[in-house]
Amino acid sequence: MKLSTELLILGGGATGLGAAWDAALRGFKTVVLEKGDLAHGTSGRYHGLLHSGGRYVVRDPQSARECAAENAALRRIIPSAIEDTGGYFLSTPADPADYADQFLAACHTCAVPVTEITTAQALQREPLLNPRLGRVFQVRDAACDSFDALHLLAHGLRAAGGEVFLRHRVTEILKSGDRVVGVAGENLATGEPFTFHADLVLNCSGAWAGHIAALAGCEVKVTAGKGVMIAMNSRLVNTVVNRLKPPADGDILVPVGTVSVIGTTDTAVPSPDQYAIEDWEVDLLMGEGEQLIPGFSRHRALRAWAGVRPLYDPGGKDTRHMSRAHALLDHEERDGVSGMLSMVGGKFTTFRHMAQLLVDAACAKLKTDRPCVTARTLIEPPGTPLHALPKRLEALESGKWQTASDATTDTGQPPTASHQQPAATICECELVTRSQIETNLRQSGSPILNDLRRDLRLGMGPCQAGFCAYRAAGIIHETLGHSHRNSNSQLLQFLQERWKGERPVMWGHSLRSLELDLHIYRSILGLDTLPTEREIEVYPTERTS
Amino acid sequence: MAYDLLIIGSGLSGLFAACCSARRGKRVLLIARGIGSTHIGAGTIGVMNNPADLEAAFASPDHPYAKAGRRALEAALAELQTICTEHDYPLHGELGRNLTLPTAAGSTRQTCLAPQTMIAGDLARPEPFALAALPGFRDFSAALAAANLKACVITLPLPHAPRRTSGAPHTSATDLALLLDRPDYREALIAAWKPLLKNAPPRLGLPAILGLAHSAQAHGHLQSALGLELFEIPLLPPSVPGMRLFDLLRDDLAAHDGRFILGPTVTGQIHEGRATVTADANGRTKTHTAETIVLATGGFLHGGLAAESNGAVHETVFNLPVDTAGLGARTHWTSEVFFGPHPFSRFGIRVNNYLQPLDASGKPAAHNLLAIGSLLAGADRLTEGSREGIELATAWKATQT
Repeated sequence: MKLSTELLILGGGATGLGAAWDAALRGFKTVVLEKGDLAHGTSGRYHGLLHSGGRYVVRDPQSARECAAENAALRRIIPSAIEDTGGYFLSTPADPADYADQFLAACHTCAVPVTEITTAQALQREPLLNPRLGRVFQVRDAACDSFDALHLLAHGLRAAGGEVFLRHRVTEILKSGDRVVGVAGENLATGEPFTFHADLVLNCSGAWAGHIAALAGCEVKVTAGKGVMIAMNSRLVNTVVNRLKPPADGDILVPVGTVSVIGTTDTAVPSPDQYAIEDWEVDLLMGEGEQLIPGFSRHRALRAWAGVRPLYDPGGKDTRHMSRAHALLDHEERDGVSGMLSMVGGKFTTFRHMAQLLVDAACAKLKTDRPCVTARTLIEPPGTPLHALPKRLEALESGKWQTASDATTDTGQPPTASHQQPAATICECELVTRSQIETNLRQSGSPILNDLRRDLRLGMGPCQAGFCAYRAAGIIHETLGHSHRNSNSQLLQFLQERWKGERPVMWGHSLRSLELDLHIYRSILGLDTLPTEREIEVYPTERTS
Repeated sequence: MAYDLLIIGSGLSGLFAACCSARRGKRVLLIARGIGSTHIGAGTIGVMNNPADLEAAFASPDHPYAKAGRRALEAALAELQTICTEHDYPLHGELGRNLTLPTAAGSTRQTCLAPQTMIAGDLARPEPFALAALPGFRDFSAALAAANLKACVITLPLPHAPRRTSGAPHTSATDLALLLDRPDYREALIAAWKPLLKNAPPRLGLPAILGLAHSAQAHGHLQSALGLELFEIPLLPPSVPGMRLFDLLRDDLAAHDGRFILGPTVTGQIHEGRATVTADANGRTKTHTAETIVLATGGFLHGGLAAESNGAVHETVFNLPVDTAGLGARTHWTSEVFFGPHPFSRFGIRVNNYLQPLDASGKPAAHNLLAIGSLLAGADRLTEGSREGIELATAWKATQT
């Protein structure tokens, strides 16, 4: 496949899609290439926090200011992906008492809105919190579902005429002399090669940015800082809770959807593609959870996952102390290679700001003056309800999803053709219906069960796909008509993928759940002996929440 | 009241031990916190996926089969068959020769005994078969199963599909089984299906929904009216064939004056070598003792064993020592591969050849305490396919004391 465009953006995470959406709104012909699915990298593996800036006020005032401004901006742009939980910074008996005054002063300096509240007020709203709280500050933290956010950006991008190509892996940067003129690679879904030419290539590949830059002959040192998170089975809090101390492991608990996520650890790993979750990391997070919520470790841990922060800090110390700031790299200035810009580092909360800087720089390179409009452009959600469970429940209850194929028959009425596929709820934990799956399959054409999970949250709830994986595999088989080997492979790959995130938290109820799942999938369904198409692949663990 | 036998746990092993004892005239009390393994099982009796491995299990001293012995296994299977036949739910098969039956994903499973409703699915038989696709029933994908089994699919709409009173917009296997218990519903179904089955192969596979209390009638009625052999394929839990086993064993226990209390949480005490248990039903506690107390609380799934994040594993009623094969750190409990084999599967209680649980020093923990079923250490039941066989054999042996 061959194609020409003005801007070619590498990376389908928050940085890349943010930049693509921005560029498309400014009238550029824009194409995004992503080697996996939307949010396949770090964006899909974060804790779900929209920063108020409070986390950075003491150590990194610049980031704090940007977070505060972008927090307000994203609430305007993608409100449907944000739950306004609010946030607390609170000191437990284990935290340094003198940090509170420093924090408050720094919030004022960085224009991060903050209000001190009494411990009684905090405990009234969050009764599970440690009753021996010290001071509590309220900030404008929120929960942001990155899958929802990225789907909105992709939707906004397509509406503005841009295109996204998933499962397109770049293997070569095409150059003409010292000028980057495009990329070549492979469509991983079909195995076909592709060549895309562009006036300018924007490298937004996050933790993989060093790899992409190297293909163009430029050296960019991105450190992969692994952060482990654990999803707890319920919303232990309804407010984001931060520890009032310098950033450390296990200092935040974020309510996301039906679960709460505790994070994070921070260790450098040699590659963004190879890392494991260690027992000590899980133990550490569970232990820190105890400080926030006494009895924390007796609640069920659903799964653990890790994301790799793309840290760019040429003066690099250890990853915990490396800057979370972004950097715009002009390879013409820096390496003598024109036609390509890289945006490295940064964090989810500031993706819009990073996109603006990047596309401003692109405008300068292409010698055109087009102002950024993203700060005041609302992305309306597409027709189907997004991830938020209450919205799904409402839709299901009100019968909005009962299309012809979803209706149930009344007792005594012979079924008509349109009544033959009742609105079976395939995934009960996340309220995913048969018609949603069928619609998604028809629209995306992707037979991959893992994509359904990211798109619809199928299998992300408490049973961790124990019941829905078989049902969904059957629907994929019936709808797309692939070979049985392909369908078997999808199902086995999906179960293996789920298992990787569950394995680090295998004790208590999770272990019971594993025995049940094994019983279903091995003993009753005999899946372990089904013929498959290919070896089951191993990817790093992805987030669930 | 003084009981000869007090059984804790209502899975297959607990229920079967209770029935066997009650049938021998013993005074039996069964206490369980909830319903056990039957409702998640396939409703079949697996003894060993590869029958040739059975001898090795009997010869391996730590295997639960070795603790029970061959005679117990043979007698247990025979007694279960007798009980089931008396309840008009015959189980077919014989030790040493497995049936190969289809699964709902189109794979195969090995089983020693299977109910009448399933045996026509024997894949060793040469006659072709079709699988029934029931539109709107989400727990059975005939298309995927048939593709794997190289069978054909016949779409058979369910007449008068009931609207769920709960508002749930789907029909469950239990709903359908209850409907199929009704002759009038079966007549409606026959009328709707008969024309669609004119050119069908001689055998037809259905999800396991053919009646609950009256499955023999349902199966026989449909077979003769539709003019072909029908076989059920087990589904995701809750399992209709498993419920039938539970119901008939419960009824048999009641018919032989056994007592069954479902609900209380049970804690055990051992005092001067004698075990007693305290049942707590919402704060109302009662202490029971018996000539023999049989612990049949199951493994991790059913709550007989519990694991903590710090690597501690304990038995939940008497806090008996658990054999974890020296695997302290939880990383070693599981395999990186979802399907295993997972080392934790072998965790459990160590017993002597009388099935008495052993304390840390290797002596019987109490003279009147036995442990049976999936609680016992030393077997990977999932890999072996030995779960029900071990449950029955150890239960039968526990009733011989």
